Amino acid sequence: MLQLPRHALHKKLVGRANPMRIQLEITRRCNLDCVHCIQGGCSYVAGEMTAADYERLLPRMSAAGVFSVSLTGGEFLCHPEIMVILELLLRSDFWLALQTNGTLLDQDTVDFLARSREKIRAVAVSLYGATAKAHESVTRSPGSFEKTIRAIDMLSEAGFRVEVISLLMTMNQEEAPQIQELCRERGLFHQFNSIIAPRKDGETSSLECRLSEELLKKLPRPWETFTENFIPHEPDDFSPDKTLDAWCTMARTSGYIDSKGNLLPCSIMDLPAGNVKDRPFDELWHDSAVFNALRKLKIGEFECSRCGHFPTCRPCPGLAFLEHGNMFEAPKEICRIIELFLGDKEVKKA
Amino acid sequence: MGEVVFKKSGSLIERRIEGEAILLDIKSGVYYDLKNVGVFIWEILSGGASARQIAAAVAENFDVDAETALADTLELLNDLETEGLIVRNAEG
Ligand code: SF4
Ligand code: SF4
Repeated sequence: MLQLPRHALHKKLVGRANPMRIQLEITRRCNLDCVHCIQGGCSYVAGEMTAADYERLLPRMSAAGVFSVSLTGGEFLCHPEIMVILELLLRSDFWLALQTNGTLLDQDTVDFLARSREKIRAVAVSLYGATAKAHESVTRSPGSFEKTIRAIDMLSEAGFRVEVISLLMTMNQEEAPQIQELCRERGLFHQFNSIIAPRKDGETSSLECRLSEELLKKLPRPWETFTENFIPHEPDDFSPDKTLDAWCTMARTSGYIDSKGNLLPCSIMDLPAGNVKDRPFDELWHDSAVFNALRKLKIGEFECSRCGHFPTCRPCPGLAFLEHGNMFEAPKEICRIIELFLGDKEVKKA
Repeated sequence: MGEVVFKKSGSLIERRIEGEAILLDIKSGVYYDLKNVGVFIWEILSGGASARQIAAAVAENFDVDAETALADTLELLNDLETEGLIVRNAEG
């Protein structure tokens, strides 16, 4: 059998902890000022990775087996050497995905990217409203709506798969149907999200923008717009003595490199294996004590394993870590949303 | 008329993982894997080769007779071509 379904590949690689997908936080700089941003003040961070650092890193990632790379930020286009970094990435053999607010994309940059369009799987663009009023109540940046819409249209015209991601909060939730309509008219892939996490620095004021139960109920069920990334599984994959391989890919097949070069298990799990400027990627990936410990965690160690909604709902250790500083506890915001749609959870008897 | 020479398609990302060749076709997003003789043949295809050249190399390096080597090679080349992983290049 030549073809290898994605879940079969995941199973094959997860056992070997082979990195398959890496997110690169190119920079923490951003030209917008979104209310919910978990980075907390997207300004310049000293020690940012340079183009020369990426030139050393990318071949190591390729040799370690990484297939796909997603660029994120901040706004990745704010990196002062971004065009050199993009050249390096497009010259390397990775399948790329870009996450952007779109406001800095001009026709020249879109044309530049379009010359390597087959290497770019998708461009994800954040859109918070169908009008400037709603969108800019989130971005707090006048003029950003028009620029984001223009970017979406330029990218679509250039033939990219554009994925519109909309986080819904108190100030923009009313426009959910219009956002859906805007995307439908343009034939775009669209996904809602309503999970607002505390900021990485512990600041929690953005949590006030979380939707009330009443408002959440008016929206599509959150998971109904998330379908593509599910990994098919067997019931036995969820027994307490199993590791989290069936759904949580952190440090197994996916990882995150922050703007300073720290290799983390996941974008929201601040447990660095080390820094790729100090040690080659593949060595950090395989030798890190933290990563190896995460790979051994058993389902039974997590509070969620005793919940009646498990495994329909599965624990996200990263979110729990952000919320409580303890990955083994249930992430309360997920519980709130799940219980709203599936009813109160029963605690399973031991 | 020259022999048909096969070479790898240009839309593949390939990785060698514990002796296996894992291929990702970025046109379709589909993954493939090759093992043992498949990896050996895949390596020869890097430079472009005909079925006869590949089969001769297989017979020389694995414990099979020439006839079996040719049959196995043709079968794999057929699969690879059907999946769009290799293309034909007529050579004089
Ligand atoms: S920690 Fe959560 S977000 Fe990160 S890989 Fe695991 S399930 Fe996904
Ligand atoms: S509802 Fe809460 S406790 Fe239950 S599995 Fe989901 S996140 Fe865990």
